[in-house]
Amino acid sequence: MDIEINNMCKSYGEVLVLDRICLKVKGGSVFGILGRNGAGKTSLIETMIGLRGKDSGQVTILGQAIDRVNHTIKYNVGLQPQTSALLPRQTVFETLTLFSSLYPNPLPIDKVMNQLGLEQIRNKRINQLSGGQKQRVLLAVTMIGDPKVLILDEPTAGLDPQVRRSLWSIIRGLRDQDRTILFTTHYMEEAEQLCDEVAILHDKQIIMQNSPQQIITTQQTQTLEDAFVSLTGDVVTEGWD
Amino acid sequence: MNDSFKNMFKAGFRETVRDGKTMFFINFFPIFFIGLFALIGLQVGEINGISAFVFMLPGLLTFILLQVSVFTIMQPLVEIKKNGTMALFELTPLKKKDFILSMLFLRITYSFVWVFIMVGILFMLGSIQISQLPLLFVVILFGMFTVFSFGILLSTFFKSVEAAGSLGGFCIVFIYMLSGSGGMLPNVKGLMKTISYFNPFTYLNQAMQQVVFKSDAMMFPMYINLFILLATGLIFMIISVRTFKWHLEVK
Repeated sequence: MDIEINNMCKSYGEVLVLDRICLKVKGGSVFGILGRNGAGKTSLIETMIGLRGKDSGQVTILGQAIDRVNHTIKYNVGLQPQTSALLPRQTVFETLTLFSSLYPNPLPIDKVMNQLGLEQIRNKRINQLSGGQKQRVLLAVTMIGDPKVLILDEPTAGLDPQVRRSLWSIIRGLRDQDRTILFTTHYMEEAEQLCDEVAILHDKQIIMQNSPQQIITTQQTQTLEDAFVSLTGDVVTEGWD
Repeated sequence: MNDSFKNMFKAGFRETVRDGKTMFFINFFPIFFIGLFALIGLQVGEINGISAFVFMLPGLLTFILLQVSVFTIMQPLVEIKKNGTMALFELTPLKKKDFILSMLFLRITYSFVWVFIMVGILFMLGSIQISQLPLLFVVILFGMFTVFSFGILLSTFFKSVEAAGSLGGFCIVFIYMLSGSGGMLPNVKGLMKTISYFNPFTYLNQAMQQVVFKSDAMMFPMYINLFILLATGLIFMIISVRTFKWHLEVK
């Protein structure tokens, strides 16, 4: 297993947002964490990699225990954050050159740009890019250090269907390179198309982990979206991100 | 110098020069004040036997350092923390030392551009000699340490970039006005003079005046002024390290 989480709890002050989370992610697979908006998906991945301190439980990534951001995270894990965290006045090429210089064995910049179709916008500044272009640059930044594990936080949120599908094929390509990809999403169709396994985060807990097809079969529904609704209910709620 | 330091330095330089607002604030006001002080100098004549314009130049350098600190250290720090850039860097092998040094080195380089402009003006007016320069640069380096530590400390109090820019800019004008003789108001008296004793940047003004004007009529000898600057800078740095949040903050 590339990622193992056992009984991880996280609260903000008095409010518990993650309750005894348990997950196992196989190496070389695409794993989706599904949940409604505000279910705590971002908190889960930020806590898992040590950006936020956890209250209790154990996290192991590539065989190493994770409490805070450590050597394993810095050198072997790439995180694509949900919001645009890039320096706004750098061009795409300058951004990739900067991040490439931070790693001991980065992938060639041109190869990454070519793989993600960034050649056309290499001299455009980050603050001039569209949402989809920014997501692709963020993914390139995540990949440039040649990480074994990629964690993507809602990589397709707010993108149009064409751009989403092009990102799906990039994610499939990364899996073919034997990388482990964990991503969060609330698009069920996306999870069904891409994931080898999914976990459903609801009411602070992982209520199910299995392959999309197995979940559909178990819930006796036609689609993963129907299975998701049958598991999590159809009441509109607010929560934590 | 390793690659990550060089690239962080270059990226910081580009972020600064490509930001029109920052470039305006850090360049317009020094030019404006040099012009203003030259006009005041023509009207006032002399202060303590020295041309009023020349008398106010060391204080203006303190103001420029404060501006660099607020607009190129405090404000960008608030911005990159808020945007999650800091967290993104933390997930890479970038060493904190390289991050901080690249940031400081860029600001020191920029500040020295203005130091050379000021020294050039003093030279042209015959108010400084080459033999005074080494000590002046030592004083300025002590001053930069205090002023830049102050900028890092201020960044820990703000969560909004806009608030950091506007309140920070407002704050430094008062700090400058209340930095005693040699600040914006020469020969301050009464309450303003008393307040200036508690302003560490008063001692930066005093130390620069001691070098440039070879004046002995200051409150403290040079080594005391430098000690106050160093001690204040260290206090700012210690508080910053204790309060600065590298990790994401609780929502």
